[in-house]
Amino acid sequence: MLSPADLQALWLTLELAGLTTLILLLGGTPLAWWLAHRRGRLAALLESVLALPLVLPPTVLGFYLLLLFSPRQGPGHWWQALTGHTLAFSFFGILIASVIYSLPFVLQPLVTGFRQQGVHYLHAAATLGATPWQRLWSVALPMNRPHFIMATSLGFAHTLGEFGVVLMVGGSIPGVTRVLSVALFEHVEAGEMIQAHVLAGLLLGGALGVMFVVNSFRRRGAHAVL
Amino acid sequence: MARIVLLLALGCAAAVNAAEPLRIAVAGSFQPAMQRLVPIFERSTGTRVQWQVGSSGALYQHIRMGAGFDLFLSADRKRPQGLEHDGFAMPGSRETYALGRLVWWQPGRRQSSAPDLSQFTGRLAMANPRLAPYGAAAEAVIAHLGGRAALSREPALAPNIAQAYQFVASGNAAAGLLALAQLKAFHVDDGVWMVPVEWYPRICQQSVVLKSPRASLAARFQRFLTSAATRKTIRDLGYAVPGDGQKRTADGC
Repeated sequence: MLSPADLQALWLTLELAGLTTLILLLGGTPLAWWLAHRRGRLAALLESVLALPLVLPPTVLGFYLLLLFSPRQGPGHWWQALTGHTLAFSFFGILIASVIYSLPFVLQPLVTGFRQQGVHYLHAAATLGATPWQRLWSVALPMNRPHFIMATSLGFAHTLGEFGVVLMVGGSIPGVTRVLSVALFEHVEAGEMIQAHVLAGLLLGGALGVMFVVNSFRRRGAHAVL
Repeated sequence: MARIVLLLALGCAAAVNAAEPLRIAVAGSFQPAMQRLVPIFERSTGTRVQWQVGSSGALYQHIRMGAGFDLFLSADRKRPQGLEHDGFAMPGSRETYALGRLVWWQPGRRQSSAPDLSQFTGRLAMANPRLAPYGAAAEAVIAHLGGRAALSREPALAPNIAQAYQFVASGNAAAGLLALAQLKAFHVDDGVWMVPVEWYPRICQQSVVLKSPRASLAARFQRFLTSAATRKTIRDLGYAVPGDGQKRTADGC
């Protein structure tokens, strides 16, 4: 059913979505913790900036990334001096793009979770002699399990469907930047409707599967509270 | 009698539609040309023109879904042929209004000779050969210059020629196989090398009159496109026009 090129696009997409989600969980957890417990204008402003990818058209993001990646100046220049490659048209480039694009989808559930949880349990744990590490591992993280599942699934699913940004900075290079959504777009544009249906079905099924998992957990969570 | 009734009916339909604008679907690459041509047509005919820009592929799909256009200016020949074949367009109404010209644009390079792909170490940008005629032409040029194997890096493929231009203009790609019309539109002449037309399949940009009550008006715009004055404008914008020394088939390609 899947051509070797499309199969390659599928693996590439899973790799991209997996790595993006991993990076966002590792970096997003402390960031969400900080945002949830920090008051003041600066934190509010930062939270708004970090939520921008939710509302910005992907083309805007792609356009700015293209300028940022340009080897003529700034980060793009340093990167090329360091590695001899450009950030645009590379896997690392679309990984950066995906991390930015999917950031709010991981961050928001975690911030919400940490905010709802508050600090009371942590204070209680501290009075019982728990170290900061223990408070994190044994109290904060387990209590936020549903939020972590939500963050992981949304981050993963959102990266699976990412299209506009990758199209603008990726250059559709097989095995490097030609992800599933780009392959689908190319099939549709070229009038290859059967292949397009297969890929669209895959993306639909994947997204539905992820949302089903999320909702199952949420329903179970709701029952547990009741 | 039946004929008179039909004529009357057509006449009424024409009267009803007279106030409605002519609706044209335009391939993205021809946008700068349309910006110059449409006001001229509107002034000389008193007809309002409503035109919408998109990729030829997307517009082709929209027309098949009944998007209600009267005329289609495609960036290729395949899609107008498809519309004609499948009964969405008036039979025999296809016309070549412009022939695309391909250039190698490498900012900073001296433009006197053909590029040597084995010496070129940067990233080459082009339109996707599967999606855009300029991409297919670019692929042929690469083949002529030694094939993809001669390139040290995979070319960056853009979904359309406009984005391929962006890849180079932003500095992310070192060179691009692009349309002359784009570089003219942005007033670029540094590092532009004209690719010989024999190196790539002809990029026939065809128009086709779609089945609509305003088909005669659409045909009028088509005639306007091939008038001497318009042909000169189109040539100035970076295209060749049918009859510019190239052999042509019945549809001007």
